[in-house]
Amino acid sequence: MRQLLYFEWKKILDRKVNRIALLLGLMLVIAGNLVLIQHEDLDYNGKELTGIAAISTQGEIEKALTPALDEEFLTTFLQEYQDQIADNPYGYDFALIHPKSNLFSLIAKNYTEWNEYMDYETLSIIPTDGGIGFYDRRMKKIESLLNADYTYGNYTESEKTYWLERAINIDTPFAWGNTMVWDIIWRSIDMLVYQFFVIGICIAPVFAGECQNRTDTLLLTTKYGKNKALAAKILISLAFTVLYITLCGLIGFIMNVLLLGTEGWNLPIQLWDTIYPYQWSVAVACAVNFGVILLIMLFLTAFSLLLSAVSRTPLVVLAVDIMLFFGTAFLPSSKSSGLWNRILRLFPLHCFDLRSVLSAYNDYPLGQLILSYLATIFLVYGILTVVCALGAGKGFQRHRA
Amino acid sequence: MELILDRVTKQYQNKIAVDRVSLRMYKGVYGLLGANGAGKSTLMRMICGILHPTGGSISFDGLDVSCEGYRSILGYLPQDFGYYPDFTGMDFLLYMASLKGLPRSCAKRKAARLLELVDLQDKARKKVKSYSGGMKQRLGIAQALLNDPKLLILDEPTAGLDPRERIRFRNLIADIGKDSIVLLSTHILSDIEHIADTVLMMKDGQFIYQGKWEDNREDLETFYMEQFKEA
Repeated sequence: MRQLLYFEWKKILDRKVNRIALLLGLMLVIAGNLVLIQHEDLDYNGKELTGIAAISTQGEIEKALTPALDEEFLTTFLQEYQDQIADNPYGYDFALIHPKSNLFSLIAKNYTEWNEYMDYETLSIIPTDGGIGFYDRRMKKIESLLNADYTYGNYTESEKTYWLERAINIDTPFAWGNTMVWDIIWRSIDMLVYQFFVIGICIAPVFAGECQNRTDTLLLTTKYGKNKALAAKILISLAFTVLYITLCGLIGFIMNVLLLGTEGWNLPIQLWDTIYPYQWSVAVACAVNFGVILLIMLFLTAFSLLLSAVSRTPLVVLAVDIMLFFGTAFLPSSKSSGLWNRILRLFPLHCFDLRSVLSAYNDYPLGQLILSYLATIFLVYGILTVVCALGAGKGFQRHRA
Repeated sequence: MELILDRVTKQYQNKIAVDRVSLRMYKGVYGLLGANGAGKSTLMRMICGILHPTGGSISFDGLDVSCEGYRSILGYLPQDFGYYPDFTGMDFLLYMASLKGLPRSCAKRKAARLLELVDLQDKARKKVKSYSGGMKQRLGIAQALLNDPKLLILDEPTAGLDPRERIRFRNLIADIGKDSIVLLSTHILSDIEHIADTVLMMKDGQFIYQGKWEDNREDLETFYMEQFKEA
């Protein structure tokens, strides 16, 4: 079996097209991460900063504000801001907001309705007398989201209870600090989505290439041609995806950590959006983001293998992959069918947007059991990966019959 | 050692490619003749387990065509022999050896010996895409022999070989036929004439002739034409 695995690995790496795709993919990772670090910002004196200096300066400013977002600090912080812009006709002052934009954004977002876009003008109308009630407002926003009327179906009582329990159990007050490094690492992980092309190009010929090279007849007449050889192809393809995506992820992670450090790794993800119902640190959230992308890439690998096993050219595989990946993003959501919307959300491009997944409060009830959107992604893609991988082996055995 | 074809049939919608063919084959070389479309390749592909018969059964010493044990005694050289362009000749044979379940050390020895046998030892480290048609055909013959097959199926094995190589491989096939069942399909009648112990002629998916060639004293070409004329 080791020899078979070795030769399958060699087949993937020996193809010139695959090598070019891998090289371009790795270049994209490096270039993409360098672009992410090209952050622009202003310091307290209005001096323009770029790159690492801008990130560290803004990080230092944010970090110095407070160690925790307690009611007292937030009320004073907002009162000071409102006093300063009392006479401002625009309702906000970007020069005041900018050096502390992460905190201002967080407050403004907490006071913006769940179905509206965040607006800095909100900051000037939040009542501060007797405290701003930051955490009460967070729960009210979540309750409002759960109790709203939806044309495609409302939350059931058990769903509401499920989400409210999750939301209430988040520790408050939130610890505060600099999460910029992890925000960049998150975006670096998000960029791995584009590696889909590399995976597609490298995996499409695994079975279809045998037909194209007319080696399928030889392969299927050998002792292990209908069992171990197929297993080796599937295992190596999945291993290739894991190794390649991990390598790309590691390159981005190491670049960012070396240049920016790891500060803020243990801060809560609620500093990105207060309504996230998960008790995670930003580092854990980044790991989950990587896990989701890796799992969906594994599914795309298994799906490509299945297509590759039943089609005769790798181009067909690549075309269907692209349709599944991008084509489904254009499918409209329904105003009347909650089921359709639930199915739609499970297509790859929707699942890759983990920030939306975490904040959407979408779930998939299975009788009495309520599965969160995130848990459903893991369950569905885990099952689909296994089904497609097994189907690929069967499909290749039968496609010549 | 016995290969049994029992009423083997392959039907594609309205066309019957192989029609209830029955045959018992023992050690020796069997020459399969027939015009294009007669069903020769379909029959061979069913014997190799690539195509499933729509009717009947194929077994070797009790092993069904679909089982791993059957494939472990099988050597096959298809007519449209494909290859991995980025593999070297040695890589290709080692890969085929691992597919055939040969242990690694044995595989290396065997591959080196077969490359020598087919006169490719100097090209062993060259990529297969740089091989000529004849060299690829010789590599194909080498891979078919890797597992010392008890059942060797050769579809046009001497196509693309020069006359000297053809004679050499004819002798090699005759040698293998002493210990194995060799089914050989070719349009080159002289190859069959020289090495086949039994001649099988196919037309419209059926055998129109099967018999020992030494029983017939006339020229095979004349005999072949007569058979097809009569049928």
